[in-house]
Amino acid sequence: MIRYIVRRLIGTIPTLFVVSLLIYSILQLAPGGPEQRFEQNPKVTPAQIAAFKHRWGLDQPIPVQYCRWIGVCNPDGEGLGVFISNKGLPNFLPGFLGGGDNGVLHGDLGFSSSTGSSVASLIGQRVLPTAILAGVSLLVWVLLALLTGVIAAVRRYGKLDTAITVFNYVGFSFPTFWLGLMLIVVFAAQLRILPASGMWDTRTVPIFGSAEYWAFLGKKPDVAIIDLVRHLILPVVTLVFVNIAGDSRFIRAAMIDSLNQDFVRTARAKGVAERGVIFRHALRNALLPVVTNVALELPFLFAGAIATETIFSWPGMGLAYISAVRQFDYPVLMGILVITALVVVLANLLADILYAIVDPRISYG
Amino acid sequence: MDSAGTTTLEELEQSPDYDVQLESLNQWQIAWRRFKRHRMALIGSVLFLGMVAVGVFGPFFLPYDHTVIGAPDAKFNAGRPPSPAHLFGDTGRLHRDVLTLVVNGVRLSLLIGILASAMGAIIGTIVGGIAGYFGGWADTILMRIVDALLALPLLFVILVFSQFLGEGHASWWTMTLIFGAFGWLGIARLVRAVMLSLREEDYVDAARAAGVSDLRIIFRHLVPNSLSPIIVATTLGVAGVIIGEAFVSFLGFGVDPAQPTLGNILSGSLEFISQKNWWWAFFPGAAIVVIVLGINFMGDGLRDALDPRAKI
Repeated sequence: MIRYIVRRLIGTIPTLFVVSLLIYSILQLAPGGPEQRFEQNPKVTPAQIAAFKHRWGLDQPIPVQYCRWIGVCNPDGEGLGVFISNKGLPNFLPGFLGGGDNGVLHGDLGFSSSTGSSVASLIGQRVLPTAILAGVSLLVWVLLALLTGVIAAVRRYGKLDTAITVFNYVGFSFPTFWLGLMLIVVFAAQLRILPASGMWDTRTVPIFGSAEYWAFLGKKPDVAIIDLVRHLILPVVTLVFVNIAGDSRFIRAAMIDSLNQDFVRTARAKGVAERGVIFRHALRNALLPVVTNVALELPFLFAGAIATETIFSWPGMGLAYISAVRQFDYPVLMGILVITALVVVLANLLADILYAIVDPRISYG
Repeated sequence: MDSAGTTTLEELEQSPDYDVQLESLNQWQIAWRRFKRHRMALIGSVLFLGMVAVGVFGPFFLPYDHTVIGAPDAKFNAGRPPSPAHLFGDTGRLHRDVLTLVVNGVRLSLLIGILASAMGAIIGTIVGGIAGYFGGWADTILMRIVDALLALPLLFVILVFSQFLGEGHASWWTMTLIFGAFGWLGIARLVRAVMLSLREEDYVDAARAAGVSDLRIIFRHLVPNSLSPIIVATTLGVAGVIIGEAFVSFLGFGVDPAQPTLGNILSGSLEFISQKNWWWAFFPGAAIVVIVLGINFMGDGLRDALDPRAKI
């Protein structure tokens, strides 16, 4: 088993390498470059621009730039020495093992070209809001998908099944951002019962993530949590409604498959109560493919999260990404793409490993 | 077909020589029969073709042109609600007629959706065909690229390209090219998987033994036999492109507002929503839902109709 996991971990390296090449190519295709912001400035001389480019290594050949960005090359090295860190060991090793400290491999994602702050710290601030939104949505949507999928499978071709099917198709056909707009129209503009945007009420709660916020959370946990939940309702409903369909249909199909198996007939013949047959025998076996499916849906969750975060001004990675696109802030764009790709690849890996663990029929030789 | 023309399909299936009659129909005739009996597929086709008709003929019946903007109006800055003169109301600030925008938007959005997914299907078939048929290093390299691209949420990448290539004023065909250029990944995987199983078939060996070239085997024998899943995926892909384009344009990174699509006409609506201008956002989005729902129903019907193993 451990050998299998290690082998799969090593197998992700080529994929991650190609991903990093792709992300780097996107940056290279972009118009202008980091020096473009000086073009309109008459006080900046060509010599200064050249010095700027030299300072940041932008005068180097593109493969060298890539090699430094990824962290395999040492920007201070010369000739073949570029692969050796200042401590005299290969540069790609982690810092505490004698490697360098530059590049993506060492967690150095560069600096935002619009605000100048470190990309890693910017992403660090944005991870928690996105994780809260995505996590709560994922939880609600998997539970609801399980519920509706099982009901639809048990009542196959009945009225309830048809109703769930129609509901799923309609939800699946909704553009995420439009559903968000409509929910704002109804619940925020007309009924005025839920907030239309943001993550906290600026009048009563300090800025989320600040030290004051955590202090406030400790002092008045009820106020802080109720406020957060009120702001979560509309974005979560949006994400759940649009995304539930795929899983619900999938669980229905898996359950129907499972209910037709011999062991279900055996269980019924032994006199197991119908509830036990459905949940203990059929559902447990239907869950196997569901586990994989949910992990494979992570990219869609991220993509859906950017739409949702923009509509509801939720201060997560999606919103940061949109404003980075708007300002041509390449370092932030690349940082977010790198992190997202890493999460997706690891989620796929996790899905495979979980599958191998829960399904005894799979051999992982 | 039955010569009397009055026998229903059910009676035909009961008749003793049903199998013999069925053999006289080709694959597409059988699929068409199955499709016609699929209720959801018919509803979907009506929705979709209805919207196509709106897009094709609608603009000729409209009293306004989509470039018309109204005079500034301090009292109705957030737009006027639906009225007999403006059935879907008008937009905030510029007072464009929402009905006109929706009808023209349906036209352009459908065009972008259909062309981009056709482009994706062609690229995907070529890439998947090469990878699946030749295998080896071609397969490894191509599929690594596909894996890597699929590890990035495509919408993220499309947003970046739209901004770089158009800066919010892209023409509709630039957006078509962008969506087509990233829309082939799923199809490539699909075609590759089908190719892997088909290339072991006897008729491929027979063709190879007869000295048929690789390219001819791929495009003459293998691709036609893998058309069914390609057709289904391409149909559903149209819906994906329409939603994706709408989102990118809604954010202001997509098609120039002078060329209305169902997304860019929504782009200013968020700021007026708190002033209760619901009609501006509602009608274009509802048009998207109708189109996408129609396509999804149709795609499901096609999947069942084209699958020789499925029984309806």
